[in-house]
Amino acid sequence: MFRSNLRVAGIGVLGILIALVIAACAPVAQQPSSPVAQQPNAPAATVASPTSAPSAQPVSLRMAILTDERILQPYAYVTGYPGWNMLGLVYDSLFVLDANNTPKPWLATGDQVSADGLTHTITLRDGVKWQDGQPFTSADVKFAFEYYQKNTHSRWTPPVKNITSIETPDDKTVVITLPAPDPSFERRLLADVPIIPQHVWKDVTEPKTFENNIGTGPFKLAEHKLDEFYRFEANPDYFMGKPAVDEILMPIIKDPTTVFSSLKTGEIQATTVPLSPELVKDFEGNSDLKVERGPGFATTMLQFNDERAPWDNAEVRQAVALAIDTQKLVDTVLLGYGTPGNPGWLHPAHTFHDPSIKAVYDPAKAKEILDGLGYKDTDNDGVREADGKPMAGELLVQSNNPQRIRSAELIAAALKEIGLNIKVTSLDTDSVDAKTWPEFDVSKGRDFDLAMWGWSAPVMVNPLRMTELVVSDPTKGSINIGGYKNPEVDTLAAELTTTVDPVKQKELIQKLEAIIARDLPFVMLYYQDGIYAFRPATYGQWMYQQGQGIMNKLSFLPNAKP
Amino acid sequence: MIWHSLRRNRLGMLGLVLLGGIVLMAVFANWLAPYDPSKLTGQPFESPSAAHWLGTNDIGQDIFSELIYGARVSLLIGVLAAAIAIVIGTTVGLLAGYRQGPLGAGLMRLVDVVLVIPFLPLMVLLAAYLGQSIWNLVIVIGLLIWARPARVIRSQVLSLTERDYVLASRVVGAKDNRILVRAILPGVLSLALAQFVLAASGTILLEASLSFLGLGDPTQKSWGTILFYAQARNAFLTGAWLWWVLPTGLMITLTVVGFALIGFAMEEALNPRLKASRAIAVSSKPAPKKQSNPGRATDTAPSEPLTSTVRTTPSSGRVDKIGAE
Repeated sequence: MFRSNLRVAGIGVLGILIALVIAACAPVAQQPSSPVAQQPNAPAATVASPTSAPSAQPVSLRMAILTDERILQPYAYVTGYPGWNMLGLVYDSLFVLDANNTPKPWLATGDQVSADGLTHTITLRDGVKWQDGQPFTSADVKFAFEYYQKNTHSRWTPPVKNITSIETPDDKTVVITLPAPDPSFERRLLADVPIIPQHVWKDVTEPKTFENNIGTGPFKLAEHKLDEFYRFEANPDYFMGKPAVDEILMPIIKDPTTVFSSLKTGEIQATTVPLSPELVKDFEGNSDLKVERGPGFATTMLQFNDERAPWDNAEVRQAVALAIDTQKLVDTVLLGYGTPGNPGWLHPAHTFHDPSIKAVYDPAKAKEILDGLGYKDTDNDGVREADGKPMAGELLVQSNNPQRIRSAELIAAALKEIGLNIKVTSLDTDSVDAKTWPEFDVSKGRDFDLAMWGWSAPVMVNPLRMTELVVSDPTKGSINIGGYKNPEVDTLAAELTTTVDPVKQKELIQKLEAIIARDLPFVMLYYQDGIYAFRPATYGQWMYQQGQGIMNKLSFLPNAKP
Repeated sequence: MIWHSLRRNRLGMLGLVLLGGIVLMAVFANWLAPYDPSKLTGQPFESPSAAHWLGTNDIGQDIFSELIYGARVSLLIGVLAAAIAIVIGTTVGLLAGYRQGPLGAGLMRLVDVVLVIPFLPLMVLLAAYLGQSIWNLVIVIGLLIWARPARVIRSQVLSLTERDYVLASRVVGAKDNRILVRAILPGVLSLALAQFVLAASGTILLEASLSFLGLGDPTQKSWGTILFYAQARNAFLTGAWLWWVLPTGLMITLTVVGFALIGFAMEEALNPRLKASRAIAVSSKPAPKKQSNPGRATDTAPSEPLTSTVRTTPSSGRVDKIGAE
């Protein structure tokens, strides 16, 4: 009997142990010596402790990312952030965005625009070489633009599509002719389109699977192990000078918590992952760490299906917006590290924003609007009825994003107060995409009521891109995932896309802002601050690009002044 | 009969007290909890205080209240999933034990297959494929853990089939269905009940692990979801694990142990041979494959699905040895 009890007790103890193991699944790497399971088999050169390296020693930096980006070339990289930013280490564009997001000449030395705004004459920098030693010429630029035109499914195909012609009068000059003046040409094309080498790509017919990483950029991709790491080596012959970091090792660590604990212990020295708000105080108080933060342009919004009743009614959408306290969302979910949404889409820090447009929180008014529409709770179940049907809906949220799930819960609770029954459904990102934005093509329709959504910072950096959010024609409104339609908006947007004069641009943008704030095809909830932590002892000369963060090539070129 | 044996088994009584306490807590959650756990009653990330005994979570909900209400969801999922497993397991066990032809053999091979399936990966896959809701969680867990109860029940059926009264009813020409339902089923019901209790202890742990991995329904307040948010919001880095993770882990452990202790005590009560033979069993070597004894399936211990090492205990050998006596 004694023996049996022992065994039973043993099993009980085992149960306790296992419960604790579950609870403690996250590796708590408190000692610097503790191994990080996800750490790739780092090459020997990078193992030497970088923290003690004097300045003459090569600087080796470990900067963790969350997911693999597959082949790091313009057709195959995966994420808009940080994949696109990593691409910028290897490839260059003709212009580059500086800390204030102003396009500055980079591979080019200048862009002369003709009086009618149709012809851009671009001169190229001397002495630029591809990473394999071949010279970089205007033929490469022409080739790259035409390659993106011909081979679809790159991010750059739509913007280069309507270029009329590209001429190369000599090795150092490119002349681009447009069908109409394009005010965002430098920002959207020249500062964005990565130039690929003609001698490497000329016979490539399957760009999505082509394995090559030769660019002109400050870093060469030296090694990539799928799901383990990327290793970049500085390009010593870079035309803007040798980068200040000799080697960047980017281990792939899939769990943000592990990323932060590795940063705290020094196993990595930087990361592309924005710091979670709850860690800011702790990290700021740690003398080994430095935290850079500033306004972020990435958005979080409540997206309506603007085609489905009752959300197709602008007044219902207004009632929803009035019921949501965005300041409270920022305080609760982001712990204050963010800016409440501007209903007119633009970040309030944006130069084109009209400060008179503000979000209003007024649930009483929301109820009034719904009462006025005749949408009343006739059967006393706490939910209003619209045309005989209860005002209910499903709010989709990405299951890998706890902050969005929490926001969704708070929104559902707020809408319950005004008599709407919203059920929060958490799905994996792919499933949410499939319902809201099937095949990433808005012309394929949509099947949802409400969804938590967000766009990455570059959509905000170029204010002219706001037309893509609201224009009803799917080819122009390529990210109008709610299917919002308003002829007035379409006319204004058409005018805006060909307006070159900045004053007129601002005027048109503010008109659009006012309409968006009134019609609310989506409710802007907040813009989360960009918070980035790193260990300055290894490398600290990061450049915080407004709204976009520290992951950009200029961060590694402190002496280059574009 | 069960009750009397249970009362004599001190560990069984302990399990009963543990589980009883937790069930009471779940039932009377709305009286016991100081706050409504879905309401924001404090600032986010508060440390424990008089107002919030276990502090607040990432959006300012009271963790202590979450813990009390969490018992409801966790117990519900655990019990429902175990019920599914036992219904399937009993049916398969009855059929496989009674019909020893191709049907029985086929069912037993199916049981073998389900037993060797790598458990957690498959469950993660299924949960991701079916989507996140507590009903899917119940179904997934239920569908994956019926094999062990099926095996135990089959061995009981095998021995019952040879009993005189079953033979007698066959001789007088009773139909198979009637024999199964009227003669054999009552003989395995109490065993099924014990298996159910043991399965429930496993399912509660499974629910917690799946929810913790983010594969449950993050909008339901179960213990697993509390852990999910604690991990997602860096409780291990900020020190909040002390009041956010530890009490939750403790509740899960107490429930699991409570179920397990009751289950073991019930099995013991139902199977007197288990007591007598245990001493021999510990040192026994694995015997031939034949299983014909309603031996106690120690390998349904709650910990089994998470660590494959537990599965390799010599328990199966012991059970076989008893059978061969």
